[in-house]
Amino acid sequence: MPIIVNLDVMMAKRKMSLNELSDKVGLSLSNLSILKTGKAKAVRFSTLEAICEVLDCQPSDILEYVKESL
Amino acid sequence: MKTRTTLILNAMKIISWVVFIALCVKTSTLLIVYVTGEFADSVAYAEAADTMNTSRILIQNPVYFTATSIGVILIYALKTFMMYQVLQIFLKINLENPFNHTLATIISRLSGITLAIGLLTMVLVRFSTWLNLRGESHNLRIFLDKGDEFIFFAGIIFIISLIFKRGMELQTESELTI
Repeated sequence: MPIIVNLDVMMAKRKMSLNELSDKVGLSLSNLSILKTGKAKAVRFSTLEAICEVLDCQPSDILEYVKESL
Repeated sequence: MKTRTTLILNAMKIISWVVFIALCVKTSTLLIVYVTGEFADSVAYAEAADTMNTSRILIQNPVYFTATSIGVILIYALKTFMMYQVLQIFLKINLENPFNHTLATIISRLSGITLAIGLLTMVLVRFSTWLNLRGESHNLRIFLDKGDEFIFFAGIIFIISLIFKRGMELQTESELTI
């Protein structure tokens, strides 16, 4: 998928575990895991806002576009 | 609203069970009568037919008798299997997450079975008309409806299965929206 989710990178920078992030953002562990592993089909703005607030970062720090090679 | 829906579903589940059991009995009755007719003597056959309240397909030619009997038994067997699929839908349906792969498969299968019943019935009806023209007396019509309704329903069920598959895609996408 062309959109890469770099959540684990930001979590490592902020030294935050998945459990801690889940509690602060208000998302279940399973949903966060889906997002982290790149299986999510879509992300709500409200979710992105909550994650960026907790991790103190920009959406571009978490989401990256990589062109698919043919 | 939820209670009413649950009530309706439960009622339909019970009706499905009743119809399924009735079709099982009918199909096995036809099978037993046919087997008796083939292998037992005529007296035993007549008693079996009377007991089971079925009328003989009065075709003297053994090939036609076998063909029509097998055709009728196959139609009823398919109807029984169709009812079994309907029952599976009622047993497996989950209104919290209704769109799943199992139900999609069952509905697709249902449309195929319904189409098969319709086509087979139409063939058998044509065959019975042909037998009439040949002067063979029979009472096949009591076992056969016209096949048209089943073909019509097969088309509708096929469209429903397409909509269901699309619903499944939308549900998956919704589940994977964080």
